[in-house]
Amino acid sequence: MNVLIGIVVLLGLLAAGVPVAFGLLIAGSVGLLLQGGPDLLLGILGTGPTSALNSYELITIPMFLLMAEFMVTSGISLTLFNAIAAWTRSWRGGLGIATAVTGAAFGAISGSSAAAAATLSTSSVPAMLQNGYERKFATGIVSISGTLAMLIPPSIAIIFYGLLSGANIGQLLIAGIVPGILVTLTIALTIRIMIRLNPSLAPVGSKAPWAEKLASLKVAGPFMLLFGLVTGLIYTGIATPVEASALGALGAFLLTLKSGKLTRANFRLALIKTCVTSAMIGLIIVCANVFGTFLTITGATQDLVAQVAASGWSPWVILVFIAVLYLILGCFLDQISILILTIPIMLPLITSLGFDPVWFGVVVILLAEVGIVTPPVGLNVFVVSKVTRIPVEEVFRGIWPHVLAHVILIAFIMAFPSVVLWLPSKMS
Amino acid sequence: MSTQRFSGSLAVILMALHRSLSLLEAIGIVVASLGILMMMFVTGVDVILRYVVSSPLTWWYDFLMNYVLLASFYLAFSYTLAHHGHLAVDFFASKLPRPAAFLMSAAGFLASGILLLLVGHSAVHESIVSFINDDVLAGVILWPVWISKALVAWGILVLALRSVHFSACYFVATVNEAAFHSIGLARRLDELEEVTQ
Repeated sequence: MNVLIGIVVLLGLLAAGVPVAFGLLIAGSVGLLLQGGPDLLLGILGTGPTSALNSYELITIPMFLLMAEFMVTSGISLTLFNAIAAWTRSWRGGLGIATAVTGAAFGAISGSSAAAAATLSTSSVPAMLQNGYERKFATGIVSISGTLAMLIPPSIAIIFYGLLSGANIGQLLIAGIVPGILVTLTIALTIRIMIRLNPSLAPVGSKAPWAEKLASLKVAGPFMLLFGLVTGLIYTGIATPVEASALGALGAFLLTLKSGKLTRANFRLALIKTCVTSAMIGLIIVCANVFGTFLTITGATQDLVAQVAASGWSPWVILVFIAVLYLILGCFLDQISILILTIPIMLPLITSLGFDPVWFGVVVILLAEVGIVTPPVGLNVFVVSKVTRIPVEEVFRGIWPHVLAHVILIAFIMAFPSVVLWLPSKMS
Repeated sequence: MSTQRFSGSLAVILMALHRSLSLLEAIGIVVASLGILMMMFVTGVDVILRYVVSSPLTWWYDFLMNYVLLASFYLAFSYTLAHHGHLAVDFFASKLPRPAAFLMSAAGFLASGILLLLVGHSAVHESIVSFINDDVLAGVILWPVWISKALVAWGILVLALRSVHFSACYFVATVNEAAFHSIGLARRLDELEEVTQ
C-alpha cells in the first residue's frame, strides 16, 4: 500500500509540473515517513542525498557535455552536412541520406539528441527544401536522425542508464555502435522506400565536382580524431570512459581554439551550459537516492520479480509487454525521466528473466528514441519545428514511416541480442 | 485572477531574497565551471602522464572525487533551478488552469524546500563535526573532510532557499499573475526590477 501511495504521489507531482528531482524527493520522503516514521526519514535524508554523487563514472557526464558544447561552438558540426552531402546528393533522396549520416557523425561527438536535431535543422532542412524536398518528408528525416545521438557513443542517456543500473559503462557505450549503424541504415532505407512509393517527395540532385568531394574530407578529420580519442580508446581498453571523456573534451577544446571561434563569451556559455545540464542530471540522482531507498525498504521490486516468476509467463511475452510500456511512457516523458522511474524496478525483473543488462539498456534507449519523436511531447519534433518554423503537426506527419521502421528494427534487436552484445564481447 | 502590478513589502522581500540568492548562485556557478575546467585539463594531463611517462598525478583522484566533483555538481543546483534548467514534465501542467498550476507548484517547491533544509542541516552538522575532529582522508595527501561536507551543505542550502523563494512567488502568483514574472529567472531580472519599483 505504501508503495502505491509513493508512486501515486510521484505521478501527481510530475503531472503538476514539479521538477522530476523534487517529485522523487517528496514522494520518497512521503513513502519513508509512512514506512518507518520520522526517524527513518531523517536518517535517510541525513545520509543518502549528501553521498549520492560519489561515482567516479559521473565525471563522464560533464566531460562529454563539454566536448559537445565546444564542437557546436567551433561550427564544425554545421559544415559536416555539406561535406557528407557532396558525396550523396546526386542520388535520389541523397540529401536525406546525408542527413541520417550527419546525425550519426554528430552523435559521435555529442550525446544530446535535442542538440543534434537543432544542428541538423539549421544545416540540412534549408538544403533539402531548396532542392525541392517535401517539407514534412525533410523535417521527418531530421527529427529521427537527431535521435542517433542517444545511441552512438558518447551517449548521455546510455551513461545515465549505466549509473542507474551499475552495468559497465564502457561496454554500454560500445554496445551502442552496431545498433547506431543499423538505425542509420534503417533511416536511409526508409527514405529510399518512401521515394520509390512517391517520387515527388525528393528530386535527383546535382553531382558534386571531385574538388568539392576532396575538400569535404578535411571536415572528417576532427570527427575522426574525437571518435578515436573517445570510442577508440574505450574499445581498445587503453583508457577508461572517464579518461576518454576528459581527453575528448580537451581535444574538442583544442579544435575549437584552432578554429578561431572560441571567444570569451561562448567559452563562458559552453561552461555554464555544461554545468546546468550536469546539475540537472546530478540533482535527479541525488533525489532518486531517497526514492530508491524507499522502494528498497518496501521490498517492492523483489515482490514484483517473485510475482512475475510465479505467473509462469514466457520471458518474451513479459519483454514485449515492457517494450509496449516504454513506448507509451515515451509519448509523455523524456528519456531521463523514463530511465529514473523505471530502471530501479525493471532491471531486477529483466535480469531475473535471464536477459543481459547491457542489451536491455540499448533496447530501452532505442524505445526512448521513438518516444522523442512521437506526439504529444516528442521533444525532437518540437526542436525541429522551432528552428525551421514549420508547424509541429506537419513535422509529426512526416515522422510516422520512420517510427514504423524503428519499431521493426527494435523487434529485430530484441529477437537477436547478439547484434548488440557482439562488439562489447570483443573489447580488450 | 488579478494581473495588476505586484508591489508592496512582500514584493520588496522577494526581490531582496532573489538578489541575495542570485549572488550566491553566481559564485556557485563560477566555482562549478572552474571545477569542470579542472576535470578536463588535469584528468587529461593525468592520462597523458600515466600512459606516456608512467608518472600519474597521485594526488588527483582524491582531490577530484572529494572536492572537484562535488563542487561541480552541488554548487550548480540552485543556479540551474533559477534558470528553470531542472527537468519537469510540462505536458499535463500546461492543461491546468493557471492558478491551480501555480498552487501545485508552490506546494511542491515548499515541500522540497523544507526537505532540502533538513538535508542541508545534516550536511552542516557533519561538516562542523569533521572540522572539530580534524578528520582527514587517508592517502598520499591528508585532505580535510570538512571541506567536502561544506560544499554539499552550501549547494543544498542555497537550493533549499531558492525552492522556498519559488514557492512564495508561485503562492503570490495564484492571486496576482504579475508576480509570476518575479519567480526569479535571471534573464527576467529587468522585468522583476520594474515590477518591484
